[in-house]
Amino acid sequence: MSIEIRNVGKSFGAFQALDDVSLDIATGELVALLGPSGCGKTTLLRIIAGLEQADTGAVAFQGEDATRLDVRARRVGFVFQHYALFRHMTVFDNVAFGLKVRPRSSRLSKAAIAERVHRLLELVQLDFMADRLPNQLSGGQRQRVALARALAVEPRVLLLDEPFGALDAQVRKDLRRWLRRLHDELHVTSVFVTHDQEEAMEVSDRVVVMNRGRIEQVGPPASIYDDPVSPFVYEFVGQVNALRGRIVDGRAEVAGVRLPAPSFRGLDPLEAVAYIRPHEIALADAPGQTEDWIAVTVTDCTIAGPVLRIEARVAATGERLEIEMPRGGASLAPGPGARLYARPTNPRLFADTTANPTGRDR
Amino acid sequence: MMAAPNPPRALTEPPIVRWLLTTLALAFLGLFLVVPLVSVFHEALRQGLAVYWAAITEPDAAAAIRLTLLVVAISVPLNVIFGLAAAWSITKFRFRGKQLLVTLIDLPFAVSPVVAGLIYVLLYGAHGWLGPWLAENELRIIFAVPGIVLATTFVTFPFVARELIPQMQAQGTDHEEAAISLGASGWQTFLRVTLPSIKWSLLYGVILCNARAMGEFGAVSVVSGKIRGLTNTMPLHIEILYNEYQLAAAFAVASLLAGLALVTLVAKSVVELRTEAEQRAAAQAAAAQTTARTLERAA
Repeated sequence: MSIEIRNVGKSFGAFQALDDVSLDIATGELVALLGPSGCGKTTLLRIIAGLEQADTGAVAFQGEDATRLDVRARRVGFVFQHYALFRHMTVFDNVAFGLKVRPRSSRLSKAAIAERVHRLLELVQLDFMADRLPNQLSGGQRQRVALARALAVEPRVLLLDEPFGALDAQVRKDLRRWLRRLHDELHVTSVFVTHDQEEAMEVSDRVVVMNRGRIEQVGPPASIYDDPVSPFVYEFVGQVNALRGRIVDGRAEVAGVRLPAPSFRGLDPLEAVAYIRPHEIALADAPGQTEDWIAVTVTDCTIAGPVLRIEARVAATGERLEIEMPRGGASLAPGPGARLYARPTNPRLFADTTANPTGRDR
Repeated sequence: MMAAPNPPRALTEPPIVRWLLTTLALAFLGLFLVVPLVSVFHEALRQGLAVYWAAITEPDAAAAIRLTLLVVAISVPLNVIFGLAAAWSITKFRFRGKQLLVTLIDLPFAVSPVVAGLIYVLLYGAHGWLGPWLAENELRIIFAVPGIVLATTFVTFPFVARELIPQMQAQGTDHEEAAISLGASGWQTFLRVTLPSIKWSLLYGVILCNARAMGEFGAVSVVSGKIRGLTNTMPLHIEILYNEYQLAAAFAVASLLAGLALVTLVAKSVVELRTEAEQRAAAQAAAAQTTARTLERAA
């Protein structure tokens, strides 16, 4: 079941939660809505579910308008951050709930309900817990029950609101891999909300990065990381160095060196920021032939597992520069005070919006 | 021998102070609560069981008891419905004027019951706003049973709502949203999800509401007219007997109300214990889970 979201807007009093959001989600896709708290991701999810009404715009399932459809008629499965299991019901009754409340005419027989519930509990590997109450389960188990409960009604779409947010780190990692495998088995169109970029990257087919009620970028995890379209995405997804500078004559003067900036020709002079990933920096003892070797002084060097993490100061401007490289490949292990040359292998330039109120980039 | 675990020294007072405070509290309780309660039963039974029995089965007393039960049977269910509706709308919906509603629910606590009674006289009395219209249609509210029910309902209406609101607020709307997203109707959601989770708070509110409805004097006394055998509730009947120096009879009927208070206290404690036990069980289960997980990880 595909989901089409058209120009959806929503505000709570003076707060604009969503501002003209449009998004297409294909059948069988697993999409992550990623963003900081207050960016509107949960509101968007709740609007898809019908738990919230959009002020403007439309939501359609498989091309069929669902904007005015109420929650029950939408047939979506919704999984809550805090599980929302019914405390007074056993695991079995929780999963069976959606089947038992159906009108008599379309309700399955008792035996058929029991059979389906046990099949779902097997799917989430909790069949042996069927008679327990939710408060006798661990957080990860509760969330799996919540998932089985949502799947019991055979939803057309599965929606998950920060499904791993309330779990501790190890359980979270296991559970998200498990969710990915489960999705590969079931292929139900799924949307989940998260503020954890690692989670979004690892689990989803496509990531939707949101900020202040708008969609910043949509794409497969790798392209979001490798090719961010805005400073916000650069800073929100992964580690990044931001060096301030100025573009003159199609070149950016940053950290005492010149970086090519052909796409800015005609717009200069312009205040700009260069974004450089810590692992996209080459280090050397002496500057190479090109004019983009930045002179730096090492201030700190730590080993984090397989990674060598170097903190350095740019000689020309005093800005901090973080560099990461695989430990095995490091021919030199610089100590504090070492003077080296760093060359950004994949820098990206954006107009400095704080200095240019027009905010044009590239 | 093991010493009993005492609180840290810094938190205790010298023995004399502890002894004084405890004695003071107990003496106060005895003087103001236990002695009067015992004396009620003592006075009631002083002239023997036969007199006691006659006092509470005499037609006017029996009528007062019946009327009180009738009033309770109408006003308590009304307030249960109102309390549920108010608590539901306040905790599950967003709307304008919510804060005003919360404040209004507390109004009967702030207003003297006598004033509450006078409001109804002003509205429905012979010279009140609706008085002429009611007289034309031969409807009696003041100095009749409907007035007593109205006044009692007014005075007791915060009890259920105020018990439910904090608990429903703490529970949030996740469970209801989950139920609806699973296809449950509003009514199914209420019966199968909301009601089981608030049943103890609801029962607690009903007990308090019931006790207050039976004992209400001020508001009822204004609207009742105190017609013997017709519009006298138990508290009003007691007052009349007392004013006529029929002490044994007055205390006999009073002992019924006092007995009800004791039953209410016991029921309230049982409900509190149940709620606590439930919470403790949940906390223990959670703790056991954590321990199990820690052990699992250590292994």
